Amino acid sequence: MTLQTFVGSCVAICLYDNVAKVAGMAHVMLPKNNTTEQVPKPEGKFVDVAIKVLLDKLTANGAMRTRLKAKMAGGASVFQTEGNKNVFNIGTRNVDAIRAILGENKIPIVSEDVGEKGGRWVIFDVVSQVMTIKDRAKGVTTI
Amino acid sequence: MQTLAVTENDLNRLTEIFSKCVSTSTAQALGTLLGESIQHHIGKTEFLDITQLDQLTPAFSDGTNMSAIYLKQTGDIDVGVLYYMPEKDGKKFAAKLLGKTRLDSFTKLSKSSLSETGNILSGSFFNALANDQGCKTSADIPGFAVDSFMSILEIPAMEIGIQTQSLVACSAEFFSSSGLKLRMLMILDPNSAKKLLEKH
Repeated sequence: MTLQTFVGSCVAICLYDNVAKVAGMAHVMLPKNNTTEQVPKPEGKFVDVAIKVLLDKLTANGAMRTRLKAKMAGGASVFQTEGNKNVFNIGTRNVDAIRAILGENKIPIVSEDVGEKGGRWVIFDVVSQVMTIKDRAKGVTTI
Repeated sequence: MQTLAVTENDLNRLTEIFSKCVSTSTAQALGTLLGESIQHHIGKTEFLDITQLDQLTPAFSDGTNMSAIYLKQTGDIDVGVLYYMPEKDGKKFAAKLLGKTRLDSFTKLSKSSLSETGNILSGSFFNALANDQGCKTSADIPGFAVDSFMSILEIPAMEIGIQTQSLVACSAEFFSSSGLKLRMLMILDPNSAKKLLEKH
């Protein structure tokens, strides 16, 4: 069974328990929930909400918090300006927000493929916990 | 989703404003830049959640990768403007701007010339908008990218949709007499759309 999405400046974050073989993926778009709703729909839109919802759903399906690990991909700076000044840094902000929240929850990031210039297809195999990334520039890689 | 009441009537009025500025300024500016006659087509203005970007179906589905220029205009209203075309058309476009017969890959100068095209087209559009609606904005630095449609769409959508998680998108397609094609996608947050309509 696989989970998959396409991300540019957004980030695909996968949390998994390799003993219970339970995994979840969120396609996060923005770093922080700035709405008045506690869990705005869809749940994966904001980093803070998405990770909380993922944690709740994974543990409800048999995962143990202490066994959870993370892999992520995305957060590209798709648009380049002259002089490479990065004024479109939403991808970096998404990645930074994920690192901070996973750190608070003591969930290690096992591997990642973040930043750079291009969008990627991200495919996560729930059984093997291998994340496959298809990138226009780099081709197919696994992490 | 924090929804402001953007009605069908609002969307139709936005299409009218957008169409007028494109017809009177942007199409002419593009024609002058290329030295060609330009036909254009105005698309339907849409109101959508940032998670519904797939509703903004790409024009020019014959191209897998798009060459794109993105500028953010800020001021009385905040607007993201994305110009894109199939990668191969981007190379033809840049070659024409640089007085070459062909371009095999995007050089620093060709990227710069396309970015400048974005500046010129946006300048003409937002001058017309300022004259017609009294709506003043200034442009940020343009960014250039070659990537899939969804990838190039994410940055403007996130930047503009960050507050309300919703977007209003107006679009125009331009076709030059030599066969070059370009799409302009103007993305506003609903607050800016409302402000623009209040000035109308």
